[in-house]
Amino acid sequence: MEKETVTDASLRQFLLGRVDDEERQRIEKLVITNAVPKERVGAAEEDLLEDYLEDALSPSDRERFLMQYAYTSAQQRRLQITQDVKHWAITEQQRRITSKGQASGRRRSFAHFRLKPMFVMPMAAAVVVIVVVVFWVNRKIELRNRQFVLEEEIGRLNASSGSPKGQISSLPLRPVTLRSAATETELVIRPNIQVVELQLFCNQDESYSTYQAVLRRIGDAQSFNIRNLHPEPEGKAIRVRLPAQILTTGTYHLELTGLRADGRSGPMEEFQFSVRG
Amino acid sequence: MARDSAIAPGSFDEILTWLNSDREVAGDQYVQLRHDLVKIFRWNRCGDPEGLTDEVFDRVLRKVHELRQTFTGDPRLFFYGVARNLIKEESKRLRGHISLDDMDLAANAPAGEHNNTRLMREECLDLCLQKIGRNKRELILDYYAKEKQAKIDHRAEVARRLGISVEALRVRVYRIRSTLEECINSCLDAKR
Repeated sequence: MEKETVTDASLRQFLLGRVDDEERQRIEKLVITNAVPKERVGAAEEDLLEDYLEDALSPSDRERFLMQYAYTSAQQRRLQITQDVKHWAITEQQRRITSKGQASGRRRSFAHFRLKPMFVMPMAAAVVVIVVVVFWVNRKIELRNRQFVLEEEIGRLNASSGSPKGQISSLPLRPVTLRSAATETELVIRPNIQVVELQLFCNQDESYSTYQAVLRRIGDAQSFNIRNLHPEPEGKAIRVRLPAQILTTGTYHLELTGLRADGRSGPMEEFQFSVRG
Repeated sequence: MARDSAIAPGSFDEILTWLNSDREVAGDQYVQLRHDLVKIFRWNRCGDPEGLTDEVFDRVLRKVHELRQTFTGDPRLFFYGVARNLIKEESKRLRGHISLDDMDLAANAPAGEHNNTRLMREECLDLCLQKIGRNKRELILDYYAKEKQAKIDHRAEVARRLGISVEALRVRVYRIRSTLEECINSCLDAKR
């Protein structure tokens, strides 16, 4: 019967030293004679330690607790061990949740692809497209750079008033007209030729201080812009020097435009020639 | 507390026989009785509970031969009676000498010593968590994973998962905690 009168609440009061001597001795006798399972008292004590560490005790209970449980070094050590165990459990739990979240995120990503084979073909196609696009863009950049280098070289050749170094092959050209369309001038570039010099004879009476030209092989998208061309001292022909390496077998079309001092352009004249290796 | 040297040889055997005629049961009861008396001294805020427990046994040892003839009832209650007398003596000595300021956990030890102790405790905790085994470690982890209000619902959920009552769970965890605490204390004592 006595066993039934000892509740968790009364045990807590006992542990906090809030019972009179009679009640205290009654509980202590029960503990000594095993009438109250000792583990139950021990569990009640653990709850009390936890509540203290979580600051969940009322001020008066806290004061009582300190009187009972923070008095000896053994009691202090017990409190610290409880705190360490709690701290370990909370930290370990958080660590596991974090690593579990990361792992399940990775699994979800893989599962997403694994469970949906219908995405495999489109993904593969997309990869191929990306590779092709990257290759095409790189090729485009490479061509643009190459053209830039060649246009720079063309610019240097035409800026120089003297004769360039290396073997030169000259080709006089007249503008394309209805009458001359059938007779196309042919240029044979021998292996030792490094520079081709086109001499453009214009039909126009008006002369200009500078000219610009656009050279393109018929059938190619690539064209070369040639700026700052000047008429020869006699004023008869416009000289255009080209690196021999840019001229490959085929028919070339050249548009020549004179530029007035005010920046306006004159009428365009067209020239055409074919190259044989 | 100094031990009494005037104890008749064979008295300890008499104590065991008095506790229980079965020698093995008597041995268990003796160990349990010592443990309970230490706790009772602690609950009564006595300094050196282990020393006071020794004193209880010394006092009983001196009279055990006579007691076996005269005392009726559970012999453990006689031990308890002796302990109560000692508690009264101790409480007279200690009354009015406890200051809450002296009980500030953080202030009781110098910082360096506190850090060393903390490191030692951490090492011992790791070691003992490994010793108790995976299942017990996981239960401890689960039981203490939440705090304050959240822990009540969480522990109810843990108990439900294990198919036991919350009360049974508390006791199960208490047993593991006791083993763990014992292991940590031994480890700490060995390190000092």
